[in-house]
Amino acid sequence: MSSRIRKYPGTEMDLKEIEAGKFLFSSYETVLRYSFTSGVAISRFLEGLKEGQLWARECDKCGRILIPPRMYCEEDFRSTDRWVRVRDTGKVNTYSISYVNNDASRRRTPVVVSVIEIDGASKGMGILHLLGEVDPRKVTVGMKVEAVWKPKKERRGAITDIVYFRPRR
Amino acid sequence: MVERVEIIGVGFEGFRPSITDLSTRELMYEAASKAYHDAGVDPRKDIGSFISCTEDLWEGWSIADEMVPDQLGGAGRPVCTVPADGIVGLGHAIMHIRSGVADVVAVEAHSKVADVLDKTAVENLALDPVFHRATGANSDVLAGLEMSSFMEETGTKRGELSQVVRSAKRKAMRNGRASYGATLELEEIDSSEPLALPLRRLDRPEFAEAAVVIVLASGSWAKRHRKDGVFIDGLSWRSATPWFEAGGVKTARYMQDSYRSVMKQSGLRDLSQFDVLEVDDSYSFKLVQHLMSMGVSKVGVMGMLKEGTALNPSGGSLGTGHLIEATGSHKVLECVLQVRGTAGGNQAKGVGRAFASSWRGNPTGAGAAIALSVGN
Repeated sequence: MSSRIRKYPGTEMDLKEIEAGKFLFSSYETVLRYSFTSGVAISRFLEGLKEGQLWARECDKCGRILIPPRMYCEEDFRSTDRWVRVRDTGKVNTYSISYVNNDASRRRTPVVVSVIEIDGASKGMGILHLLGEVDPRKVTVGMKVEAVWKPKKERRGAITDIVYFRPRR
Repeated sequence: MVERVEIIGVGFEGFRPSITDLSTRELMYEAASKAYHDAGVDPRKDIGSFISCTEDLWEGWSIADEMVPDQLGGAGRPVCTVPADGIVGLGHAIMHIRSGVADVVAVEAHSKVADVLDKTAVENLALDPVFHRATGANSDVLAGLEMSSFMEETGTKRGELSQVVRSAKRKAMRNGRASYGATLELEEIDSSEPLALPLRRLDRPEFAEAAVVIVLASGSWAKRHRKDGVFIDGLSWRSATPWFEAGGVKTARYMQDSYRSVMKQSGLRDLSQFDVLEVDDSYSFKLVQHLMSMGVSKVGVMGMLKEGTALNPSGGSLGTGHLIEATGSHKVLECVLQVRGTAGGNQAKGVGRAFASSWRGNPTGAGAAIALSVGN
């Protein structure tokens, strides 16, 4: 409806009528399950997370250090050359104060989602993660941050082994 | 005059039931690297368009286009995905070349199907939600229904279909790209686990994983750059009615029409003019049905099974494994290797012409065909 249109022509369908089965629909539910092969690059990256380390790949031709790591350089189309351990610190490249979960449901308290440019990797290379221990109103682009890791025994080789990044102390 | 299109390079990786060491992206990169080396091209300079044949539900990745460019050398370049079999992707590449979009096109297709834990759930989403899903009929049940009708209409015997399976499995024993080679007795096939009778376990291929990249170029580009390509003499694809119940199983119309179009484009008369055939065998009876749809009598089909390597020398899908969208690309790959004389254990002698066909599987009536040649 709008300020100019109060009622559309036709017969409106009421939610209660739909739930009561007055109209015929064909419903179908399914569960799709996948187990993605991590591959060479991401497997090493995930193994590193268990040890509290961040690993990147370096391309000798363009000199870039890529994180997340990949076994090929997309600019030069060649295999990357070596593993490089980078720091678990960085700076905020961009951030969003999010009031929605990934299923689109509302949050009462926001989370700050950010892309962190990782120190030691090439400019523009970073990972998406959460910011914590910070007032969302005080987050700025360029803010220096550091990773907060789960205790070692709780890490399982997942990006969530980093709980969040917080302002660097 | 329509410009001729050539295959100037092929590359592949995988061809195993499950590839546990490479991600989908890394698998594609390995195949692409080999194809570009084979073609002698730099994808960052020479290739004008990149096509990936991929279906989101098989990927587990909605809008799979976004995960394609980097590993093909297509970052920042014209890239598109075609949710169809690899031969259809080649058809799109030909259109790109002939319409002037690009002189050189890379076509990638892959199967990383072991990453899909419940394949039947994905297959079921292709079925009609009102009529088919509600009855619990999955794609194998549809195949059983079609197989039953086909056997009745054509007088095809169980033993004849077991010969199809035995031939494919034997040939696969000599093909390094085939995952499911075996030496089987007909009785073993006759009595393999029933799925949806008359369909039995060995009548359908198991899944396999691989990536295939094929590089195509216009004839004029290939000539300027002195590439010895494999000519695409004809390529066509057709989609029949989506109504499975429409009947007419004696002839697969999508295959008949694709074949006729390819033969018209090629200026050829019949399948006997090809030295090698890689014909879709997504189920044992489908090989017979597809060949009969292309003018071969059933007696002729059974004879072809006994004539050494000319029919499906790779072992077909039954021997190699089902590669989902890469099924057609694999068959084209085998044809290219055959005409080059580098097919390995099942290399046929003096191959100048080859033909490949694919079917997209139940419940589709979608198929494609391609004719290739060298030195004519």
